[in-house]
Amino acid sequence: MDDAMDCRDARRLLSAFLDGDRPAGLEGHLAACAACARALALSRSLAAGLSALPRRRPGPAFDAAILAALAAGPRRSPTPRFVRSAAWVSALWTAASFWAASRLLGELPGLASVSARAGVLLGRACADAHMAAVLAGLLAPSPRAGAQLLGASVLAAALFFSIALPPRPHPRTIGARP
Amino acid sequence: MPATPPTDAQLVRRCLDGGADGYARLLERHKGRVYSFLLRLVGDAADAEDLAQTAFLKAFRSLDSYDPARAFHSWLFGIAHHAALDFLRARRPRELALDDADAPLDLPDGAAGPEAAAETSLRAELVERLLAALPPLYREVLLLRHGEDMSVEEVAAALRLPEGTVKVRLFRAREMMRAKWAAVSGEKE
Repeated sequence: MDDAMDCRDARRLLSAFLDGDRPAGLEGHLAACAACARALALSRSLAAGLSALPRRRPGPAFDAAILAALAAGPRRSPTPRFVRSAAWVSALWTAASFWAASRLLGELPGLASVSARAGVLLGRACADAHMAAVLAGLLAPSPRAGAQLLGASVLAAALFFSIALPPRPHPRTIGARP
Repeated sequence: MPATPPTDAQLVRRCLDGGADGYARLLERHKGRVYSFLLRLVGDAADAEDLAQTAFLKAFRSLDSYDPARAFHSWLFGIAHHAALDFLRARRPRELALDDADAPLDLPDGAAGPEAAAETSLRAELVERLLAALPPLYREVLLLRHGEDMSVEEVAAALRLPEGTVKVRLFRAREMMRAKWAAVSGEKE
């Protein structure tokens, strides 16, 4: 038996041997070790059994169903989930950022110049995110995905206008305060 | 002299050029192997047929992305693999676990014995049962490597896995099956 390899190492290499690798020392070990040679023969027998498994065939309507679906027209794959998720996140980010900007400007008048700058930056980020959602919607490969993405961007815009813009004073309250 | 049948790449070109018979011929050539692979992976004929249809439609609709330098069947099996994986994840996430290599294989005892195993059909049935008892991720590498006679490199390309990962899965799958195979086939280890 090859002294350079024991049975444990040999068993570990049998799988690679079956796949065509010829690890150094393995063939010598197999020639001398009946147990490992039997393990290899068993693995080969199993591989032969797997290769000989009968091929099954789908039902008779299989081809026709595929060819009919194909003839019905090309349909590109739907928008990946991460694109839809990104559009929703960007839309929500738009709304949240505008809301934060308006709060900052409204409640921290002492920091007007800083907050104004922050507001401008946030507003810019919101506009970019909003535009990304719109573009993603326009470029979406299916009408349904496009509608979802455009809906997300419209929702973001609606949230912005309802939350971030200052409320108009009620007519009865005009002049009530000094 | 009979005409040489067109290669898969030629049939794909024919499809892309508008030749309708290209699809039918690709289907005829590959449906049996794709369906058999999926059937042994998901274990249900109706599910396997649905998945095979999904895989073929997806492949046919994206033929323009097929690289003719690559074996068509390897590319097609990659699509079928992903369809099956999505299906199995939705059905039973546990089935995709890789850490249960030591789980016992659930095999009936009654069919064991060298006399019975000598029958070819029974031998095939035993292999089917052993295979079905493996986790799908191990099952599929054996099916592609031996059932489809793909090289390790082709299996890796189809499954989009490193060759080392495929080799590890093959090793573990073979180890899991070998002892049981010795018991049911009557061959000594």
